[in-house]
Amino acid sequence: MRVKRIKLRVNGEERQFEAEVGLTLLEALRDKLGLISVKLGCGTGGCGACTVILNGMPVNSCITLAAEVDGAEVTTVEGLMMNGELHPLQQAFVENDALQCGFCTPGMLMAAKALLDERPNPSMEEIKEALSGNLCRCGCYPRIIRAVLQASREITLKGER
Amino acid sequence: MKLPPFDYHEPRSLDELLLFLKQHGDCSKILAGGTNVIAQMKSRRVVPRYLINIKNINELCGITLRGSSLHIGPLTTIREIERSSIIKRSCPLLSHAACEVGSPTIRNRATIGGNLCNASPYANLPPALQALDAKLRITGLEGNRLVSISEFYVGRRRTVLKPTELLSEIIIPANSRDNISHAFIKLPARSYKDLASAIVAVVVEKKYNICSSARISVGAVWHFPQRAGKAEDYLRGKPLDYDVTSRAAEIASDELSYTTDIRASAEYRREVVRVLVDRALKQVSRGVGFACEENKTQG
Repeated sequence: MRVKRIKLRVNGEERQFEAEVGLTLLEALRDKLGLISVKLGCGTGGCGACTVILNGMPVNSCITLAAEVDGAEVTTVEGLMMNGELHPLQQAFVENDALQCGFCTPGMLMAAKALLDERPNPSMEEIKEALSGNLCRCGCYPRIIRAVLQASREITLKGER
Repeated sequence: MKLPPFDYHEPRSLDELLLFLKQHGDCSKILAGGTNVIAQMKSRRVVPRYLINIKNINELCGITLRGSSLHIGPLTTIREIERSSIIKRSCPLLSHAACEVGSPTIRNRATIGGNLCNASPYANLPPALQALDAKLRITGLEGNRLVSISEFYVGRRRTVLKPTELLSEIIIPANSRDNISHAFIKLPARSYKDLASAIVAVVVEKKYNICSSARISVGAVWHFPQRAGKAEDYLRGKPLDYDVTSRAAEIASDELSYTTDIRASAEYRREVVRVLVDRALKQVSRGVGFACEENKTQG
């Protein structure tokens, strides 16, 4: 086949579109569904800028075909806000100055979200490992890690996700 | 970065896949985790006419212990291998090798079958599987055969797989844990993972620190993993003391072949293999067990 009708549950919403089989999940999310938080960095799965949560696991959307994940559940940064409020991770990134150019930030947020979903109280080493596939050219790693730590404490205190 | 045009196929069974490969195998590529093939298609290194998504074939999934051997389906993700308690119990060397592959996002999609068949000289799992004496089942329409890791690789990025065949199973002899130790060292040991410049995977059977048998596999320094057979012979029956392990490392370093590439020269690899084999054998002698977390924090 060359074209496929694809259904995805994106940020809690059922979405559908038709796409060439060669369309990556990254391209589908950005160009078909307007979710431009997802970024194209290296395009080969090495930098993590394209990280999204697919069926509960963080993956590089640039090397995933939309066609092969038909029926899947996807979360992007657009799905982090709740009731108009920033997610504790987003808030912590802002408060800790954890971004400069901001290009790696969506990928960092999704990798961090996936980590906290699985491990609500990670150690610094566990955060570093979880984010080891996300590169930041501006060098904000220490503040990013601090932000994730802060968010994890906040989430635990408030008992929310 | 658009992919070149291709025809997409999603077989639902092994038979359907093999029939398709019989007709179109020579212009097809298998899509498992996609962490290698999609990137290769983007750079036009491979331009298949057909891309075959095999993830719907259930027979290719699963990790089962059957008698004295462990059977792993090729679609098992690196993540599943990393977290499998069966694998941690019967061959922890494989868990260790898995946890150092790429990044978490890559491990969530990449498969053991893909890691083997992509035949990158720098892959983590092949040297670990070679040290574990793994057998690979190769299946085609006519039947199947078993090959060792050494038999599977026949050149740089070349395996014995014919275009009409599939790697359908990985079989590892399951060990009784008491007297078996392992070590896995990958260079570089950074917190973000680059491809390896050298990999040493060691499985040693010993009692009271006297080695009864050893398997030393070295990866990422040549086109495919190599066994340090002479070093293994030397170690047999000897106590794993300081001098013996140092000498074994020298023998291993001398007997292997090395390439020069963008990451390291052959001369550097020769010396670093000596250092890493020495370190691995001394770790085994000290009884340092599953040191995955330990290695990760070195970065």
